[in-house]
Amino acid sequence: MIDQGEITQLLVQVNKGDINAYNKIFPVIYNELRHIAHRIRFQYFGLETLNTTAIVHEAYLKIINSEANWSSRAHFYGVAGKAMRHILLNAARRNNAIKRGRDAQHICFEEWEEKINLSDECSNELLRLDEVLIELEEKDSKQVKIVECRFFANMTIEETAVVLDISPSTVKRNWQVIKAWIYSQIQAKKIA
Amino acid sequence: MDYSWNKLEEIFQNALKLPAIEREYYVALQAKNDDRLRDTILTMLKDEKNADQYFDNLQAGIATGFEEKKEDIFKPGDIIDKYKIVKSLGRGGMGQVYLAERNDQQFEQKVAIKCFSAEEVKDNFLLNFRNEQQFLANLNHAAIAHILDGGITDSGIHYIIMEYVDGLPIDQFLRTNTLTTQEKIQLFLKICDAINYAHNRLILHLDIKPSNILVNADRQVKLLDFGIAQKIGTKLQHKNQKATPYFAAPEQINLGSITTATDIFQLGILFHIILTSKNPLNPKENNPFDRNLIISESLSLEIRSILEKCLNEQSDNRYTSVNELNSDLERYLQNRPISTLKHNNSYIFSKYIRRNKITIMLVGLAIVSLTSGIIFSSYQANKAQKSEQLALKQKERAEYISSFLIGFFESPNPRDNSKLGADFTVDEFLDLARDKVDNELSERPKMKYELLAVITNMYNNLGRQEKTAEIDKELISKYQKFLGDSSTQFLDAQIRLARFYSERGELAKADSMFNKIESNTDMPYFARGNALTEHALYYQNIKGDFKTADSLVQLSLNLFIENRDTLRKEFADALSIAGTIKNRFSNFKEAGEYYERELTIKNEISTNDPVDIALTKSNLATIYLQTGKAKKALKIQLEALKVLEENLGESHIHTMHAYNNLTHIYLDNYKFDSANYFSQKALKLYNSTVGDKSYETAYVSLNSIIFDIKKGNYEEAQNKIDNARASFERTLPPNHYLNSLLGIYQSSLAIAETNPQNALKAVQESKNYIKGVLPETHFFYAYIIINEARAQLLLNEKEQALKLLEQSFEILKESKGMLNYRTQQTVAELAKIYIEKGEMGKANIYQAYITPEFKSSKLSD
Repeated sequence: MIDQGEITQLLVQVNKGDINAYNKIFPVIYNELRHIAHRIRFQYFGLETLNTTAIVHEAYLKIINSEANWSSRAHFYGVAGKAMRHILLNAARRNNAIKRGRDAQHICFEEWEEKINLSDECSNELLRLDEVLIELEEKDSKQVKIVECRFFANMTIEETAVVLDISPSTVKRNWQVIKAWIYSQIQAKKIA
Repeated sequence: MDYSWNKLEEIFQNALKLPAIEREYYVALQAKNDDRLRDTILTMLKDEKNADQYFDNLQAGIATGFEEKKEDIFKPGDIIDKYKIVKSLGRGGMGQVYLAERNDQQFEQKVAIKCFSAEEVKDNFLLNFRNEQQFLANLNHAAIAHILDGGITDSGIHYIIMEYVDGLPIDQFLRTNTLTTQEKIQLFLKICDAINYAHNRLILHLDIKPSNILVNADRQVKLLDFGIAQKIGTKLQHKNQKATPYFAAPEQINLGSITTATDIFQLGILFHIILTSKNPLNPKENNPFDRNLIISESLSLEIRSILEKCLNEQSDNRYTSVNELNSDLERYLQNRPISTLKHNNSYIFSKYIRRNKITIMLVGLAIVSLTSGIIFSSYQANKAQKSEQLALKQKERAEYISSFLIGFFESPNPRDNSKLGADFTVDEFLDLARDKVDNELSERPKMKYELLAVITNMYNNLGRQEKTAEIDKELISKYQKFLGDSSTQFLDAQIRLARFYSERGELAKADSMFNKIESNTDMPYFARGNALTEHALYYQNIKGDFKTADSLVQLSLNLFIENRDTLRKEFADALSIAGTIKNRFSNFKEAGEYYERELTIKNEISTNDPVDIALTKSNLATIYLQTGKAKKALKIQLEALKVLEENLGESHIHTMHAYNNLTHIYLDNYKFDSANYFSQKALKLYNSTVGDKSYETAYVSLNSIIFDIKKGNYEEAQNKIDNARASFERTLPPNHYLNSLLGIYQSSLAIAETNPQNALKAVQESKNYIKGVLPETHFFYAYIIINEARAQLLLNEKEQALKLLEQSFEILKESKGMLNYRTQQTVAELAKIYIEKGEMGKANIYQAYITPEFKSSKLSD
């Protein structure tokens, strides 16, 4: 187990682009996210719907000292967004594999991912989204990070701005373009 | 995949700032030969709104995927105690609820059974469960769901049997029932009453939210789920007890002290949702843990101040009891504005007399009156002033200064003015503030003049032009010296003075002030844009030179567009003026585009001024009406009217104007009775507010004549024409073309009275007034020759009548469109005459133009 001070430090490194730090911290956050979801409904019994926000927030409380400052929180969310993207993609792939009659047991999925019951439609959308995100990565990898923060970790514009070290207005403007572009690419794939 | 992201982003962002119609051209130009880039951007622009929807849907899909599949605890037919399960009523965050009925056939009784699985009960929920049972048993109030019994089944399921309430959660209820603000407050008071009852028995609810409040068709409310209620005084410190984050008070999240003030906070959230359907904690970001209180700007000042008191972060600063909250709401309902405001009606009144809006009415008058009922009052226009200051992106600074100023008097809230004495008026407040700032800040001139500028602006907002000008003249050189050439304060004062001089008729001084402003090269572009707009207004209102006004306002618009900074109020205001000018030139299409863009921007930047938006909508309604979109006009005018009624009251000039507009809009929707209703209403209000001598009343009165004629009140109609004639003689130049209105109405009346000779005389009178003034394609000609045709018919001159009717049909078709009620009337008359003549071919052609809606309306006979 890594201690809290170290985690905070690692998060800062990760967001500076340190791949070693990333490899160290990613599994911690990924595991935590995986374990949280099936419990979380009971924790926040008042929540009408469970969403990625609630899960990421809970993981944050668990891993990071609640008194940690705002920027380390934002950094955590930055990594969590990527982790959440992986989890959802795996869940969608698994769903798709089952649908095609392949034995899901032979494909290695984490236990927790089996607990996500994505609809067929949602799985397909997520797979399509991932293809588009890979294309976006080739064009401009910074934009993908915005998607991970804004969509997968459900971060606010301000939090995203801190993680990526750009101004909130830039995040806002970029996000508007990204959304429209992704949507146009996904529509094009549907027609094709 | 060749185009670069940067290029795509740049073109897309720039295109977004352009009006929709210009985008395709711009994108094609910028994308040069890259068809793929061009097509991608055009698709993006087209689908921009759908993209948001796509991501929202995907989030919702993911959220569903995360939900555990919960089994139903009971099935229909299961027996619990004396009851048989009928069906599931759904589940909340905790527990499941079923509808059940008596099983022993003794009598019919429906109940709701709330139950919890063994797993749910295992750790934490037992405590709550017991609480609920015990507390609810103590509560016997018509608006609290009664508890009948409770227990544990053999299989370990805990259940509570409750009164069954056949109603909808309050948020759903409000979605399907349209309630006025007053009715919503009444409904909320019923909830407060129930909470107050519980408080008096030392019981808190602590989970007040829409899904816990049911409303039935008779608008009776029932509170459910005293699930996490605690006796007052015992701390809620169990780690697993967390209130719904969307509705929790801060102390519930921080696990602080829970008191009645916690319920007050939740009541505040609920009240906001009831009034606006929006949660004030989190209106935008879908993250319940990042809460950011935003009280809707569309609510009235008083309601906002009540909500602010409920929703204070510190529980000590909220209302101390539900009773206290109730009495503020009761006062509001009885129209006794809260505290200081009641002594200062002018404060509220003048706030909304916006100069640029009044302008629109002035301009409209020249063309309309008869057709769209746009009215203006020169008295109001002179009195009116613009209350926004130049927003030089110094909002934060302004807020700092305001709070400093307010801090002087330790009265942050107009409600809470005990220190100032009950009869303290805003004027007295400002005089006092001015003296204080003058005396106490002589050592800090910068601060001193910034504060004095704020105070001056407040005088201006109160409509105290003389006083404002007096201070501005005195301080303008100080602003320049201490705050700088390009400071907001200096520029504001210059613009205010220019406006003051122009309204006082001191045009030389006004001209020189405008020259001074525009020769200032240090000024930021948005300030220059604003000054240009102001200058355009001056040319339009005072000099009546619309061409110059147009070129000035276009310069202003271009400044904002060049700087790619169109999402701001100053730009939207300039669009408003530009729209007005296009309207003046009868260029309705462009005017409509300007107004629509103004509206889009004002909605986007959420100006804190619902009245401003309502006035834009009124303008747009007029344009829609002129361009044959009567249904659209009706919808948007009714939206605007609601806001105007709520904020300004019935007898405000803007509201009266909207009533009059509705007369015309309803006529073009062929709704005779509604048109008649609003016509009478407008006339009554104009009579009582501006008096029967004024020419505004004369116009509205002329507009109402068609209803008198239809009802056979010929004497009444004649009186109105005579009064209008007297009023026009006083106010219009003797040869003014609007005098032709008198002849138009006089001839209509003569025809109704079967007096063709008089009708023709009146027709001639009208023609004389417009000859050489209006083009022969103007609809005034159509109105006149319709009456001439009718008179000829009465004289049995069918051929002559047909010729005239066909001529007026051509004019109306072009100027008013096929759906206009007069066009329809003309077509119907033509068809009738051709049928009488036996020329069925021609009759059929005209009959095909008549819409079924018109045919079945009262206007068709």
